Amino acid sequence: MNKTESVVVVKDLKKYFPLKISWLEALRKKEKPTVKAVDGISFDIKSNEALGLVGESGSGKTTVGRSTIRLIEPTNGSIKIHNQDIMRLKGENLRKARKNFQIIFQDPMASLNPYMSIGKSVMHPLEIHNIGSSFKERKEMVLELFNKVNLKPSSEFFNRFPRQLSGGQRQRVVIARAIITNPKFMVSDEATAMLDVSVRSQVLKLMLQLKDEYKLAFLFITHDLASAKYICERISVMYLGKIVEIASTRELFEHPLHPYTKILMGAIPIPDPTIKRNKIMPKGEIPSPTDMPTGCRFRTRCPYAKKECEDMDMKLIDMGNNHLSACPFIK
Amino acid sequence: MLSEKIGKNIKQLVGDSSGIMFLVGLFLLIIFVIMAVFAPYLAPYSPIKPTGAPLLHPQASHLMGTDNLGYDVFSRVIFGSRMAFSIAAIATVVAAAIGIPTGLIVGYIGGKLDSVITMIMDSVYTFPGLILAIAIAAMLGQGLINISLSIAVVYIPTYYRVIRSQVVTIKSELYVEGARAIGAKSPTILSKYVLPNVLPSTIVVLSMNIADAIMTEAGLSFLGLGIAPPTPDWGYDLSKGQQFILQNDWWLVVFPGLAIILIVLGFSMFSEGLNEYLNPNIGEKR
Repeated sequence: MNKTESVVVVKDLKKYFPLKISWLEALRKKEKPTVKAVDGISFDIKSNEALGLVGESGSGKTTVGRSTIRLIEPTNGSIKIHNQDIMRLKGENLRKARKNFQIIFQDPMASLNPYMSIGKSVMHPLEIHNIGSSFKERKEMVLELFNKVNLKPSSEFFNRFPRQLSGGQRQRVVIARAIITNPKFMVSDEATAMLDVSVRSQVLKLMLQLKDEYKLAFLFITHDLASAKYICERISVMYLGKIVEIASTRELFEHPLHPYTKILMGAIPIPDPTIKRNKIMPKGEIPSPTDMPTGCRFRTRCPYAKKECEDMDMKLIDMGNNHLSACPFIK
Repeated sequence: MLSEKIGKNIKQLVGDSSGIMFLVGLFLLIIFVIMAVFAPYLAPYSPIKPTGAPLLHPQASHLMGTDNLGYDVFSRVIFGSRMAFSIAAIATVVAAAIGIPTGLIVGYIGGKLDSVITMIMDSVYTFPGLILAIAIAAMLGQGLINISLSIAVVYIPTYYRVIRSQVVTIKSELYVEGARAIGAKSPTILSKYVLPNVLPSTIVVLSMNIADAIMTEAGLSFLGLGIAPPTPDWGYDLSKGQQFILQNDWWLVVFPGLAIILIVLGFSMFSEGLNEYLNPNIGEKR
């Protein structure tokens, strides 16, 4: 992979959340207990490329999304967006750099200020980053964008408040607000998870269209493999804070290598009841992140687990064809 | 357009019992405001000059009788509303002006600062309001501003607590995180995203506090810590009147007392109705 053309390069990103303990415990223990929500993950995204990040609840997907754009402070790692070292930025510089990377949240009901008209909400990033010279010019930009995200008639929508909009319309507003500063990198944190199926496909289409138009590097976080397949060129699979497999979408769907990916694939419903397949089922529940298994984190649930799994490193191994998997035993 | 909107809202309000409460409260307040504003035109006599024989029963010339010095009680009740309103207004504005920004900033910053300030505010809050006001009033002395300030101190923690607890929940809302994501500065986030969302509950606290402040003020004057006589003041009149209650001179106590009850009731009902009306969750349903 050619690193120079990647818009986003994340290396060894870690986010440990400290656990709350009483001060007596804190005195006795030398090391403070932490939850390793994200434990050393690396990825890169080129412009006009969407990287999917899939995994079940509690795997740390959202934490990756938020710490990549420093909405929460990563414990460790390096993040480069548009040739800018995001980890080194402080205060005012970080604030100014934010126009280059944006996020779309999961819940469109909660991500808009109920007391601000949606026109003002979308215009606010322009004011913050001093884009456009006058109110009139900024309003023009907002109206144009409203048309683009299909909030028509745009001048009527401008003065509406979030409570007067449907979920799908609100998510379009959130997308408009994220895209208006012309960012290079966009994180979509389960942006379609809370929408109805019919609206979901429209919003997915819109995101795909904007990705092409703005040449966005897109980090698409989801638990829905079908949506990821629709949007993404490449998909990474996450389990308990680690990426277990990265491959191009086609490669991943045709030859999933890691046992966990195989299980996820088995969970996608096939719209044909006559097709039977051998489902591999995971054993038990996802382990508590405070008490992680040694070695391979998936071994407690893996149907192929062996003795060696107990003390191996979960390093991504190149299986050829840019297909990386963390399981050395299945090729 | 606007009148249509108001009309629709009033119709909605009368529809349920809280609406009627709001309207009755509003009606009472309007009467008292008119009393305060037009006091010189409404009162038949000067409130600070003897206008008849002492201790006259209520009669045509003196609707609420006269007190032991021959002052007209009706005129004093009307002029007393001015004192009640001005002290309550100053006290509430001062308390809000200190309590709201402190709660906003401390709640948003959080951490150690939050624990320390909250502990201080809570310790003030645990004092019985009137006793704290007495202590401060005794230190500051008489006079409109001093009384207002001593009442204000009592109510600062009320604002602080309401605002702070709201800010703590609102700052973890997604739209506040969204504002940070688009690169908004903290003061901007506070003024444009947090403040508008806490303001509705503040307005309710404000009108409830005015009622409380009027009672505290009456209490202070009753105990002789209020305004210097002969300035008309309901609390002071009440305390003077109770000396004559054993002689069956009931009008000295009943009329100022009724005025206090009605104005406090007016504010309480008004704020209760307002609470119902401004609650954003109810707005969502409509």
